[in-house]
Amino acid sequence: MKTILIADDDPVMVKLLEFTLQRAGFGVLVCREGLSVMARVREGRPDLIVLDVMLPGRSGLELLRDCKDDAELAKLPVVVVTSQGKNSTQDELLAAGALNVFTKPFSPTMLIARLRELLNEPGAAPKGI
Amino acid sequence: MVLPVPGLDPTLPIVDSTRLSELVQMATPGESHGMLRELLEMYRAEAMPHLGRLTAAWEAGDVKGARSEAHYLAGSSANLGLERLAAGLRELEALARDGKLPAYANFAETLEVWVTEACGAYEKAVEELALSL
Repeated sequence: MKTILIADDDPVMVKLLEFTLQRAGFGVLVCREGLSVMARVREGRPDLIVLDVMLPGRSGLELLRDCKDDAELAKLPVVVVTSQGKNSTQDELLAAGALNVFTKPFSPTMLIARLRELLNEPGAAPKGI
Repeated sequence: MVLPVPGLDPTLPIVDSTRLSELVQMATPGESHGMLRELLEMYRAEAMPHLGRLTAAWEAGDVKGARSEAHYLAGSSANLGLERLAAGLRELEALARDGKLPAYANFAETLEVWVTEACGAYEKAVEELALSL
């Protein structure tokens, strides 16, 4: 079973993601603030991170850069979820190494399809999504 | 109750029915009603302290704090499908981002009315949904 770390401070979002991911057959780890994300990643060894941008303590962008600067974690896939729809923010996140940026509220079906694609799981989204 | 927030559209639906349908699709049949109610309770429990912090930051002229709290509440509201509330909070976030925190009369009371109205409408929509399943 592939495991996904949800790093988001909004309990409603966490619950939604937890429910959706578990129902899709993924294991789930949760981290609700930025400062402990890297430790949680090293300890839990998730296969992918779903990362919120505005986390208390350390922002999603900073954490993305932390991962990319760490030789062991540089290849860990990271998908970002954000309430900021601005193209400049999305471009910055993609340039920092995010594989996808989903603007909240997003379709859970689309998210799952993309995660499956990134993790080479059956039921992946068609190319281009 | 309306704050004179520029750009706020009072004609927006209180609850986004498309978002509600998306959330229902996430649950297995028979579970959706319970899941939506649980999400609403979580939202209520979280929103009130954040509203308090937003008000305190707004009234203290703390632009960064006001922006951060408005952002959090807007995202959380949008996740649930509280469309008009999310739009209002985004407008407040935009004002804070621009460094503008106008002194509104009854700011705290108005925000509380917004949230109460949104949660009430959501509860009603969930009940109607339960009857239709």
